[in-house]
Amino acid sequence: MSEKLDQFARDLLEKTRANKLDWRIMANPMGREEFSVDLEKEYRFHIWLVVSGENRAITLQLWKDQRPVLESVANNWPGISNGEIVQERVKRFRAYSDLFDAVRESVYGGEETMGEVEQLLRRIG
Amino acid sequence: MILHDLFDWSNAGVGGVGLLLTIAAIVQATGAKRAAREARQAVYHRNAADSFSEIVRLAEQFATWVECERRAEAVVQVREIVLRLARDRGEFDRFLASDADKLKDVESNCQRLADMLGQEEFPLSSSAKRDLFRDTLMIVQELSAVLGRVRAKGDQEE
Repeated sequence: MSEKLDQFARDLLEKTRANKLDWRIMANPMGREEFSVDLEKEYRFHIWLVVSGENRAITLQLWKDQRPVLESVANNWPGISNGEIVQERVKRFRAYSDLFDAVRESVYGGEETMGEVEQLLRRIG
Repeated sequence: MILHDLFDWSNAGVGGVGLLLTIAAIVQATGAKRAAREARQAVYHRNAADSFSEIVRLAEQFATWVECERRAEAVVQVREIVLRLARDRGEFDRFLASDADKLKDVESNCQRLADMLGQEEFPLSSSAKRDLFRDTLMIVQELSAVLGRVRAKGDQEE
């Protein structure tokens, strides 16, 4: 867990939603869904989701000069402390999940793309 | 003759005191009855507030499971809310007034989400997630508002 990467996740979400980042899909032999985006000066972010039943883990990684330098993982098990759900962990997972959704949408296209494809298929008959 | 008058006066006096005591007893009994009714009403209000407070707690937990994208836990929680709402709506019906209809709507929304989450995987598209988060938040808001009104009504009548 890295607080700095949590802050980067919030910034990345904002820029991704504004279509200012060019995320691309990564071919991944491990079967996980992974995307990456290049910044200037050899910096790059990777984000991937691993789903196992109800469990989800999202990893955000910062790369510099072709190697990872920082990594942070958020999972969807909220954790209980003194009988109460730890809300901080819930918020953190939400931030990472929202970022992952925004990245996926920016790569595949959102509802508009689906609508267009549906129309095209309908036109074919 | 004088003795006869004395008897009449003392009889009248005893009758008057008896009447006063009877009136006092009736007044006391009426007061006690009212006090008992008010105490019963206060307990009823307290029970209603406690029940809806528990439902709000369940709804908040449901919202947390939804935010964590944990379908199985969310389904269990929302089904519990549906059952509690049906029971408490029936029990506190005369106290809820117009909120009874509102709770009926919340109950059917919860039922819809329970059916959806029970049949499908957790939605993967961000728009479906947004809809689910919005509906869940709305349920927590509605139930919290009802709880606030139930508490305010209880405070007013106490």
